[in-house]
Amino acid sequence: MTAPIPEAADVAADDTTRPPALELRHLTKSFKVGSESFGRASRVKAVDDVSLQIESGTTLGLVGESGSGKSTIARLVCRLLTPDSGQVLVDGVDVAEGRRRSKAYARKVQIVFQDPTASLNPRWKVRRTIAEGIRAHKLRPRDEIDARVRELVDLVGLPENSLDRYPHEFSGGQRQRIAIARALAVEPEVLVLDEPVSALDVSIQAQILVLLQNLQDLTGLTYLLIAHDLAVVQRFCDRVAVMRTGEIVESGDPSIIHSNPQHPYTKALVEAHPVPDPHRRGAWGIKSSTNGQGSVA
Amino acid sequence: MTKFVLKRLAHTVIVLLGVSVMVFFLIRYLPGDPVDLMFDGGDDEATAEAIAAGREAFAEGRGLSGSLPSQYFNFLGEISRGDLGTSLFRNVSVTTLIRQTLPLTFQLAVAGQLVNMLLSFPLGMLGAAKQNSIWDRGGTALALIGTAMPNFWQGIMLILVFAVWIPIFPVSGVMDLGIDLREVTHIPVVDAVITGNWAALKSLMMHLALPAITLGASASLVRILRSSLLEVKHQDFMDAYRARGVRERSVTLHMLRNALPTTVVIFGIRLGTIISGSVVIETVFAYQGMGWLLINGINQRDYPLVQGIVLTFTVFTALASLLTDIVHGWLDPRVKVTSSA
Amino acid sequence: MTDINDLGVATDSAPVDDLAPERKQRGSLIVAFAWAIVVGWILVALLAPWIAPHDPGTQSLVNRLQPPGTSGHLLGTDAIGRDVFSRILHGARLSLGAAALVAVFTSIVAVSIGLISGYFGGWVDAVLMRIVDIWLAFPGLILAIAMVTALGRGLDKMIIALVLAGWAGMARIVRGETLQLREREYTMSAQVLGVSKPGIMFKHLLPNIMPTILVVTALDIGSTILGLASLAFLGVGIGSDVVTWGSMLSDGRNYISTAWWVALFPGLAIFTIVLAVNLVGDWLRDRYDPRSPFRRAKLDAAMRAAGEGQLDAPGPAEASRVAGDGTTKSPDGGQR
Repeated sequence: MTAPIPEAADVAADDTTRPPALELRHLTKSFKVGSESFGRASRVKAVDDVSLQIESGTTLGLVGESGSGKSTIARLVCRLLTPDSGQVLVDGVDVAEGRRRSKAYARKVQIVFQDPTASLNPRWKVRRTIAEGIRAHKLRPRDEIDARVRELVDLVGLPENSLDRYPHEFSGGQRQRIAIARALAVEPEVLVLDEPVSALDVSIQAQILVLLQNLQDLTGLTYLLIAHDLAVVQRFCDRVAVMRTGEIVESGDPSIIHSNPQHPYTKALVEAHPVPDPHRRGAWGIKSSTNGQGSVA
Repeated sequence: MTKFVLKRLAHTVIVLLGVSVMVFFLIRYLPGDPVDLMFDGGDDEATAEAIAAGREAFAEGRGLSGSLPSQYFNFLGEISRGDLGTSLFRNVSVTTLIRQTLPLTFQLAVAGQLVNMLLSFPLGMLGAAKQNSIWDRGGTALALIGTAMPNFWQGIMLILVFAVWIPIFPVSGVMDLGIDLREVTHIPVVDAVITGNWAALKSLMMHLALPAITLGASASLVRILRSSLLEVKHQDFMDAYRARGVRERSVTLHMLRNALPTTVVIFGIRLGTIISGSVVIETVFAYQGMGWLLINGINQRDYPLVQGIVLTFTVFTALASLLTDIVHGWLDPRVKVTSSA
Repeated sequence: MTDINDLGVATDSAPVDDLAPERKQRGSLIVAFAWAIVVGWILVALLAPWIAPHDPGTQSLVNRLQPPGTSGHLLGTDAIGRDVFSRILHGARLSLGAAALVAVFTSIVAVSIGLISGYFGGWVDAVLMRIVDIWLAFPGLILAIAMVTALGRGLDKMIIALVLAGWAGMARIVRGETLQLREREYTMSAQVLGVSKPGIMFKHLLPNIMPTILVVTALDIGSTILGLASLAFLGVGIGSDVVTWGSMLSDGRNYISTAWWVALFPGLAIFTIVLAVNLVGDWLRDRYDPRSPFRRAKLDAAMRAAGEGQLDAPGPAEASRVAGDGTTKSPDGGQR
């Protein structure tokens, strides 16, 4: 079903078909720590000369422990932060052209946050939350918004009566589906997933990941998946990049990374996270499926 | 610590500059042309030209001519030299008037603060120590009542009871007439003590009593003191002390010491209330301090005087605030860390 | 500069050793009573022209300084024979009406500035907060007096003056709240979604700071009423031609030795309404202010019971969150 997975070495070579959906070039971002005035403002490099490419319709997993800078990358990519230097390119176009965060950019890159409870406005009904993006970009005339919202809710596998309920009436997994629906509402090309399943129960994690996979198959979305759990990355990603203290230390095919990690840090990471045998079928065994939530059609 | 002090100092300087701009504009913004308001046309028979010339001269003399920025810089220059202008009504320099009245307000403010502490501390501590007891409830109720009562009403009622019905205290004024007091520091109470003039001291105290009580009773520290003491009391390290068997009395002492920084800050914040309160209370008691003078000045349209007093009050408040901040920072090291102006 | 809100000390709701049920009972009785007083005065203010036995301005030199209980004059008459009771009823209109107007306009100004300052951050925030500092450097009443003096006499000017004098404190509180809410993930989601800045401010931030605004306004009304009365007493901005409790007290001061009732009753009126309003404000704060530890505790307990975790609490990742422009801000939104 998927296109052949390019080896890390191949990608740098000429890509005659199209530019990568998302590319980061020498991205650097540091933060001030401690008191700002009267000198002695030390800076911490959260992201240090990071470069990545993600081909359209594929998933890149970004792994690392807390503090490695992966969340900062997420924020840089969706422009909640501006980099100190370096570029973010979507479809080969530098996004920094024009204003800091132009509205059109929202149609290119969207984000799903880790904590679905915090990312949904508790006072808003689900309907309004999902419709927010549609309204902001005027993607549908007013009388069609409702139909579109119903489409989206169906797409993420939630019943239609969810629309008139409030976030607190749902479970964590369901809230995450709402968040995904909201992000899809503006029809982005790239979806940044900042640890989308870390806050969920293990059994639910699989469902959400399957949903995401199905959506990708259906729409050709490109994913930047940030996670700290190698198992998740293993099953789901076409390529993996490992981050540590702001830098990418290793990247490549997930199974190769797992079986033959090069960098000592990656080795440590792999050893710390036992991954179920990828050749054994089970809860994790099937990558794309029609069981569980969401149908491809 | 030095960095902290310097930062606070710089901040205060900026704020005071802003204050001077505001005061400058407030007076310039008076309805009608300030020059017309202040300039007495002079002799009715003078020619229109002479009047116009006189007006020009007056305006220049008072720094009311020229572009606005230049007026402001003149203003700033004068202030820094201590020249606050001349009172329109009394024809004396504003600075002199302030110098005469400031000590009186100062002694009233200090007396008021003392009364406030005497009232608030016992009530606050009792309330924290015996939470929810009748003492606590009563103290809180008293505090609530105290803040709701208009201070001028309190003053008037005190006059009614303790000066009219039961004539213990005098109704108004600073000191009985006919008593001579040699001035050393210009603060009457201090001078009376220094010169051993007990008659004067007694008179001063009697006149100070009711205003000070009124001033002290309305700015209430009780609830806040109680809250901050309770916060400390309930913190874990206090239980640790108790668990180790430290005597309850020492525990209380620790509690006090930890609540001290907050109390100091509240003190400083209440300063503004005390100063505002003194304006009203001096009027009630016809106590001729700076607040009383301010109201007089307003009623007499004596704008240089009003400007000078507002400025003086504010500068003092700001400096006292600065001092409080520094003491707070010294007492509670956490303040310096979170502080980044 | 240090501000009471930066201290993290809840001024009135402190942790309790135990919350005895009778205490809560008795507490709610008092609150009910306070509400009754507030409603009562509001009715008085609205209906004064109809329920007052006399016209507040009618003078009668024959009838001057009559003690309370004199026929037709429940609370006596003042120095020029005007009925004290009627004047008190009419005085309520000004005290309450003007205070309400001041409260409304102050909120509007404070919220606008606070929202903009908190949301945009950067130099906008720095400048606006410096201005707030300058405003707050003035002792409260003094600033009001200065403003009133500058603007001139008249009720409308006095209201404007009080709004100008009093917006700064609330603005700072609003800014603090905004800073916190700005870091909430639903706000950031809205940003990424492409919602415009004003859109975010109106749709996400404003509704969530409303409870705080209402509580702060309610708590401030008491001091607004006192401030108005003080100004009237001092004769600044309003003369005794208008019926105000403050000016009644000012007159009463002059006759204190001979006619104590002229001063007692207006003061009593002010006292009762301010006390009632303060009590109601406290109750509102305990119930509705999201910052009040009292409420937070109750809310958390309720949510935990429902198995939902904490509603509206900052997400786990938020503790290490940095602000959008890369600088670190202290979590309590203190102006530092």
